[in-house]
Amino acid sequence: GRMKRAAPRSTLRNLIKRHKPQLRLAANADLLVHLNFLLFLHRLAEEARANAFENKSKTIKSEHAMAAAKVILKKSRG
Amino acid sequence: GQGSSGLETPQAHRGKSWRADHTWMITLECWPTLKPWLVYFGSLEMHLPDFVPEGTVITALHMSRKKKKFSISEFERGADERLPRNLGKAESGSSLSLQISLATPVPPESVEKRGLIRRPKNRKTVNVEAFEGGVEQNLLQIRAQNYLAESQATSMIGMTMGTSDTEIILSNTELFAQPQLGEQSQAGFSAPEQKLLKGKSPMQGRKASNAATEEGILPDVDAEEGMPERLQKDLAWDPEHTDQMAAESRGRAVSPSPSSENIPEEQREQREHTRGSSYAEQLPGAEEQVAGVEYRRSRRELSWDLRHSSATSAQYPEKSGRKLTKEAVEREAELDGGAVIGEVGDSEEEMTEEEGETEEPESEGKNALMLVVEVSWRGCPRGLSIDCARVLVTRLPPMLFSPMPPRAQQAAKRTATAPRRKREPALPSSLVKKIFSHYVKVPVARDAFKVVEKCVEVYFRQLSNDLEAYTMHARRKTVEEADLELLMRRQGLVTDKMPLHVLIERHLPLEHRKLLIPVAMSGNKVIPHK
Repeated sequence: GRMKRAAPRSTLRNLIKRHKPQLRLAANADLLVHLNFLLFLHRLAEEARANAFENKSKTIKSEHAMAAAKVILKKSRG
Repeated sequence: GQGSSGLETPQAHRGKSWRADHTWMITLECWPTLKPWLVYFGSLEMHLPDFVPEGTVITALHMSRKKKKFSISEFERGADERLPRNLGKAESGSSLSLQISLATPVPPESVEKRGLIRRPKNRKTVNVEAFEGGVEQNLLQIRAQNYLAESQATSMIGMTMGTSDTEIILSNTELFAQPQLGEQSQAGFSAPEQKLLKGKSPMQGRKASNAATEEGILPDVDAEEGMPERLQKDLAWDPEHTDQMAAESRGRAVSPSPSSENIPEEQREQREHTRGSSYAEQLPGAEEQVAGVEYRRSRRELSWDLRHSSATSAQYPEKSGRKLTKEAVEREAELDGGAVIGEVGDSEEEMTEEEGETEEPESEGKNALMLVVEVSWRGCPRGLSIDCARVLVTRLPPMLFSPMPPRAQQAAKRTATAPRRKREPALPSSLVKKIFSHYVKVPVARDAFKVVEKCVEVYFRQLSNDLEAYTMHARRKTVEEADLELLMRRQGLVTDKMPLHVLIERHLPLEHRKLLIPVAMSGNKVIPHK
């Protein structure tokens, strides 16, 4: 196993602040943001891996990642 | 006894705490003199093996403990200042200094403070000014970019610059002209720059006083604050420019210097305009186009341009200086039209004052400037430029070169990077890489990571938009956890079959889990406390 890195809470807050300065975050809401982020990456990774397998490639290449990104970003719209 | 009284303190204190807190101080202060004492100290149980001959490492530890904002360059400078002082102290009297330093735990910290104090305070003011100037330039660049796009249509610009210039300008985003001295201008650059730098330092006082008088004409303080950068840019930019201008005949097109890529766009635009106006004699109509382009510029920017050209003219041989001055002045004339002339009437008295000063020999930058202006005024072929020269003259004193000693230059450069250093927060790429690699379980190409990084940026943008929408819909201003849950539900992450808590448990580390999921403990205690 590897140590799970703690969520960069302040960075997440700053990130959202930068996009939406008037928006505030509840106390532990940024943890849920981090969760959402992890799940997003998870989906992205799965999709990219699937793409790579389809191309019979053992590594993830940028085109696999790009195609996966398109799909998952669309799925992640609220 | 164990020598000086100061040496008793280690034994008096509890060994560990003393060691932890004060050993570094001893190192910092007396390492050079400590060496002979090492043997003596062998009897004491002092732990010195890790000490580095320079105190810098320990200093680094201390400084990082105290203030995290220290930049490396600051630290190094401070270290450099401190080291010679330490050595000087050591040389003064070995045992005496040793006793003093050991006895009082204060010296190292005071040394540091002294190091801080020793740094010229005016540097901070330059920083602020430089920063604000940098902000102004940003605005200018943005505006200048717009104008540049428009000005491309004009034929004059088309004549003066090739497309390469446009691309270079449009792609250049530097705040400051990194003084990349071209081969030809290097020798000539250093000499006049140093002269100019030295000449500028006495002028600062005048600048303040003149600024007050000139307030009506000149824009405000922030225009002044833009000066340090502008001047620095001038220094970097002008010599190349002037060499070109001097080298080539007036009518010929000036090819951009190889090192001009880094020059901020506004200067280059100005250069083009001045170049363009060098064609003015041939193409009087072209100036109108320039005027049309520039008309929308604010007065303030224009006065900056004036100062630019004045600053540039300060260093040049009279001929090109005169040309630059005249052209910049003509530009202003075209732009402001009657307003300038009207202004000139008021400033005539001042003009006469300035003129008196132009008699002085042309050694310092300011005097050179006045001389050049006077020459331009005297030798002007056009009536218009006379008036404009007057305007120039009146604007010169306040424009005054703020002192740009190398230190301030460095400060300006550093503050040039300071706004840049405060770049937008982004997730640490290492974190993203780690998480992604873990989830994907197969090796990932480096380019794929870049794609992922880009994707993450888009994701965060979408996320903030969605969260804002949900929160506004609920007529709240704070994003709550319920909003997040709603978002995940809509994304299909949370379903009836997959509640949120399960996801939390699966993906988040324990410390965060505890914060999110209320855990009921016996005794009717719930964590986290709701």
